[in-house]
Amino acid sequence: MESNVDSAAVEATGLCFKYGQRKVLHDIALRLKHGDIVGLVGPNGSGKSTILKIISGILDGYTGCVRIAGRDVLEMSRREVACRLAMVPQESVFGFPFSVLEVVLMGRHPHLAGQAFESRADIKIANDALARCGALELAPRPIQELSSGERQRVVFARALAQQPQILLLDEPASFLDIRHQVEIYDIARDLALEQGCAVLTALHDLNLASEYCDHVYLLSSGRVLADGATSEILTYSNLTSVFSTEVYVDINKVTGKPLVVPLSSHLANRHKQTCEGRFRSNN
Amino acid sequence: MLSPAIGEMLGALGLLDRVVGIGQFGPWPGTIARLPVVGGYNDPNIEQVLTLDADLVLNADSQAAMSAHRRLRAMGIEVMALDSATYEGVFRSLKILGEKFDRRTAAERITARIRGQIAEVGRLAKHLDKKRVVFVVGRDPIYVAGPGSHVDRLIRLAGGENVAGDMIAPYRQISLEAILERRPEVIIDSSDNGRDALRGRHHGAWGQWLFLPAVRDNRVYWIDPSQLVIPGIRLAHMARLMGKLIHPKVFGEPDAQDFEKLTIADDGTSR
Amino acid sequence: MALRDRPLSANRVAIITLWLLTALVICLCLGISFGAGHVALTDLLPGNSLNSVERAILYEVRLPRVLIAGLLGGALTVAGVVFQALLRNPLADPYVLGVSGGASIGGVVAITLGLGTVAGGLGSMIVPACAFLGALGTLLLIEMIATVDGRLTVYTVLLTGVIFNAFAAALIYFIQSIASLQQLHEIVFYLMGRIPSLGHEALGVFAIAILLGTGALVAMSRDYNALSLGEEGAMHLGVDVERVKRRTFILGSLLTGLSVAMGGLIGFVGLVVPHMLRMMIGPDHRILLPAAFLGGGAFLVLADLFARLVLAPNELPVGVVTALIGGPFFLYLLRTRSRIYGI
Repeated sequence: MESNVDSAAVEATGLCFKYGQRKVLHDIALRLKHGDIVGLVGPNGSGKSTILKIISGILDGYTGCVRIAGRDVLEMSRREVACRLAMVPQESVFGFPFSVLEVVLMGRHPHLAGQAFESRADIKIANDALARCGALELAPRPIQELSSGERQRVVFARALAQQPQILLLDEPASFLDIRHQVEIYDIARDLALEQGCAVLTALHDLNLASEYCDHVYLLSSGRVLADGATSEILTYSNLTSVFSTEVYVDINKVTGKPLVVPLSSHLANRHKQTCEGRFRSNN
Repeated sequence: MLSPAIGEMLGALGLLDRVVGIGQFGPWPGTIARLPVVGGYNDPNIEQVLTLDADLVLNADSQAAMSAHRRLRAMGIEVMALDSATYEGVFRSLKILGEKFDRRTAAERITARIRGQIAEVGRLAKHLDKKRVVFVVGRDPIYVAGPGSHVDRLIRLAGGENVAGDMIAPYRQISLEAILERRPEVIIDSSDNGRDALRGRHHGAWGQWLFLPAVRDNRVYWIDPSQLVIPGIRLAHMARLMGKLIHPKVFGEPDAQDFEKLTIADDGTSR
Repeated sequence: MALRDRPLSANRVAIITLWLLTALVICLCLGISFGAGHVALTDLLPGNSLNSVERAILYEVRLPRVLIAGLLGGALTVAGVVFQALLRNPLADPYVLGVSGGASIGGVVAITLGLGTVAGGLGSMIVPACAFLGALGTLLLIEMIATVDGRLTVYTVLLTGVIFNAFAAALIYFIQSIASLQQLHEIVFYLMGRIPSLGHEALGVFAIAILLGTGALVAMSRDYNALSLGEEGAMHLGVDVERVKRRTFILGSLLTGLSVAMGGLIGFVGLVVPHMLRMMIGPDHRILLPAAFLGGGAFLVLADLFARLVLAPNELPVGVVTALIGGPFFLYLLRTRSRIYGI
């Protein structure tokens, strides 16, 4: 690794971006160290996916700067980026009936030269990645036959096969049952702890964020409203104002981390009064 | 009037002054060549016909034009669909036109003259050695005149044997190697219609095949398709020309004009 | 379909390539062996002697013809594969991106202006040359229209191509409606797919151009695999997607333009053969593209042989044969494989 552990794996400063005339990012600054799991939390359209695309270098035309291991991502070739950074998108398309193993092997693409074929070592890496995602038995099946949850695990395995130092996740758990949600984030945490991988994930599930993220950026309308240690950010006042929804926030008795439950509107009014009462008394 | 073959017949019968419109595909005699065009023989333009206030539409007997003919008749316009693509059809059409326009004797006289001239060609060619002939109408792919075409009949009449005599229809795509293997002694090629088209006696693209008798004996002719492909009352002239191409010793060598695009005179004669 | 539980290796590529190469050579030999003329490849064996006609038929007629058929079939199939990969649409064929329409216009205009001559030599190459110019013009036009902010938008390319083809068809109908009867026939023959007859030099140039184009496309085969994950998916795997798209569009269009200029619109080869091959050897472009060249070549050589033999000495237009084989086969695919192949 060319960067030492102290320097930021990803550093974004002053990001502004427009889709046409509509400004979707306002002066975003973001920093990610090796070994960190950082969450991007916010309502739909708050700019989470756009940030991930800019950091992964597939979107340009923004102002500001993204540095990966100290280098401007737009000055790196696609292949240089892909050797360091892997992305698990929200949804993937599969144009032709490749087998699952072939799809995971595509993760080796940036590491291969020319039209080379995958070596035994590459196949072992792919199989290990599949095994780690509990998808080894899917290996010979055509990718198009899989359920969306199975596909998502395959895509995650492909990202692992890329052996990235930076892993970007865009709502990777949307289609997964709770067991596989936990599995995927457990793997992400292992990568961060054992290999110093920097993980940046956009997520809707605030309890997953609470459980796995060391640090959270709370986004609204393309601005960072708050960022800091997860338990300091996932608070009643932050969440109700950002999501415009009444939530019940408590402490998870098992982990000691915040527990967040959204409330239906007919419960909301009653709850709001008690919370505001408590909020006042706490102060 | 939509078919050039019928145009020639009308010319021969002295009826061109009655024509008010012509078809898309010529050649037409000079006096009517500038008249309004009323569509192709296969696709008559009904509105044009009505605009010209025509009483009678003369057209080739075309399958494609049938529905247009029906509609014209329904609008009270007389339509005559005449067969001018075959030998007997030409004579029948002449007879019909003669009766229609009260030119019966003229039509009979012309018919007798044509029949006589054709018979004369046949008589001259009868005892000559049959020459193997191929008549090319399109190239790349190669299309030739096969049995059922009037060209095939002209070839046989004028002392030739069509090497494509076993094709399944009048104008067909044929394998080049079949032509080579059958070693034609005379090649009549009407496939070149570009701006500087080859005309007359040249090897042209056939010069590649030196073993062909036609190439060896310098009997490859490049000819404008209007000379031989479109039948009509010029059948006699065509038979004579075919004779010149196949047996020049008997019928005389063709002259340069015989290879050029036809121009049709007002009396239906052509050069 | 046999499950391909082992991923592609250089070994497997070599074996499949060898098989297909053998198949192609056999098809070429069959193509040279049979025809309307009565001479076969076996007449070359010692003890037989060829007369000048037989020699000409074998060397000057059949040999160049089967080679051209092989090159055309290979080029069209390769173009079909890369356009399907580029558009991620299994219904794409070489003619979908509009270049064929441009080539047709070029050829038809040349015929109508009387530029072509069949007298042999260079003159006979004028119409194909004009057609190729038409293809180049269309290529530039479509690229200009479909490039937004320096990026080639695949959907715009497709839409522009489809619309341009419709426009080209209308323009050709217009030209036909003012052409002479003789030109009309020439236009119809020209547009109908055929295996052209080329001189040795022209054949050599044609072969080199098609081999170079195919080689340049094969060099991007791993990128096409990644592209099946979508443009963003491919970018995340380190593919310079803009470069691959542009090169593919240009090279595929050049192959198509050259093929149409030479052979007219031979249908179904570039649509059906890629699917046949995917069924047999899988979708990995590292083997699919070389296989497309060999298999497409073999397919068209056979189709042409069929066209020459069925009613010999009558010949069927080769496009009729490819459509008669390809149409039903494609419907069969649609019925049985639609889920797997996403047709």
